[in-house]
Amino acid sequence: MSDNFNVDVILPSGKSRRINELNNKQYLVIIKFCENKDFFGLSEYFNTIILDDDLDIIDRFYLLVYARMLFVEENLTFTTKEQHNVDVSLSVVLEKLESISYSVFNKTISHDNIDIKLGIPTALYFKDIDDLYNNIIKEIVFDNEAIDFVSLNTEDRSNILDKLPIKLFDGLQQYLADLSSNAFNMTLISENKRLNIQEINLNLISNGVIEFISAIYGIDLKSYYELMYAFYNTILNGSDIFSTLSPMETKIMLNIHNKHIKKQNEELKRQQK
Amino acid sequence: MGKKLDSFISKLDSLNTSELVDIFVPSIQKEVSFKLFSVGQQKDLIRTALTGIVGAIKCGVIYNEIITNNCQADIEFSYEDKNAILIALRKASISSDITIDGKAYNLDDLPTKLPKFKNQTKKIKFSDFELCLKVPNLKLDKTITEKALLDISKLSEEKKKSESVDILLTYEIVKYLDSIKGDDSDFDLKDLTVYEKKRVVENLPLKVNNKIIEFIGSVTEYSNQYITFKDDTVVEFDAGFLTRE
Repeated sequence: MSDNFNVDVILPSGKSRRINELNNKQYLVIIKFCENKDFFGLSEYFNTIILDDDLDIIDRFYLLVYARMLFVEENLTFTTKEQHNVDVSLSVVLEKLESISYSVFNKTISHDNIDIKLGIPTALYFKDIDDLYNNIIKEIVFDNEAIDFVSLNTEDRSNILDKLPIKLFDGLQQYLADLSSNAFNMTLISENKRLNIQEINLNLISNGVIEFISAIYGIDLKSYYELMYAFYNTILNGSDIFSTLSPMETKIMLNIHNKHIKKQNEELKRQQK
Repeated sequence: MGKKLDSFISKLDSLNTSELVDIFVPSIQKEVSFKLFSVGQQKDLIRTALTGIVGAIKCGVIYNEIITNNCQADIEFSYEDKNAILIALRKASISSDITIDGKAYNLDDLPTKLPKFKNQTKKIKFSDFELCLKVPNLKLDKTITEKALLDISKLSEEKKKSESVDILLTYEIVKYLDSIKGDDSDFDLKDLTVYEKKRVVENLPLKVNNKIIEFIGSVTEYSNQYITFKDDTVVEFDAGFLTRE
């Protein structure tokens, strides 16, 4: 049993995962990756703290948006032309991901005595085009001999892919094109001209997912350090609890602290009168 | 898994070497056996589509390598062979159907066997020199294109747009230069480095330059017969050549 607080999340694929609460120590690492625009590093870090190998890209996306909502901040904030903040709940994104139909994703392409079983990518970041092809192949059956493609290392996957008859490659490309144009091309946030909210479109067969994740997790590093400084100096003087709190808890505690200070000031003013 | 994987890969290897196609090679007027395009080669070509002008040039180099690597015989291919071989290889590996600018074409409508290109060399006289031109082989074509690629890669994105064509044209002329005969000695250009040859080209009189371009044009005209449809539509060997069905 983990000593962390965790929550059970039902994913769009029907799988479920318990995710541990994201703490400030981990969040600081995430912010640094976001600030550096190091999408590979960010994706690898999420693999170590939240995700696992069995999750497809839709489930990964869902879990990370869910964690952002639960442990960092529930909404995305847009600024209107009049400089007012408008909050849009990230639950809109979760609903879009929940509505994706999984039935169209499993496909087998064949040529002569080779069958290739295809499925949704299981990565969050694609280093190059090879990575994308390697990610959609699940199993290859050649003369009734099956190879579990997912269990192979990157080098072996590329080696096999390069040696496949070219007539199969068209099928791979068609599958990717179908995913890109139909199932995986979605409007996450709809446009609202009155509120100056621009439409956010995303193609899941690209690095757009990790870029979007980076955008919703990233905040200005300097302001985060200022928050840490304020927290250590005013609320938890001498304590190390900050690193174990979630960013959401930190905000709640800061709000409580600010209310308390405000109340104290009002009390002081009243006494001075 | 190791043994099973090795056996799986070796079965794929034998599949690739068992699927061969005989293709007519114009420069030797004979059919030669070739392996079909592989997925690895197609991936290499697709990658070039993402890198602008450099990618487009690299694409040409990859097609040269494919011809050499897939041929089962040891042949010194001429530049004039390239178009005919690639069309035949595409037909055997994928299909004869191709779509160009939204219109469907059949590669079987293109000529497959033409007589050899007659004028393999040309002599051009100027002042006290005689310049000898020769249709390059694919190996030389690849080497010099790679040098051009290196020069272009060094340019800023802005300069790439404006200077690439000039650089490519200069190197294209370099490919065709074979020797220079002077008053007192024969000067074999093969002994020069590509950059020295480039300097020679840059200092040639305009009139000579134009005559070289004329010769290059005649070679292109010959080999383009293998890739030109009746309505003058020309097949392009870009990254999409293997996918435009």
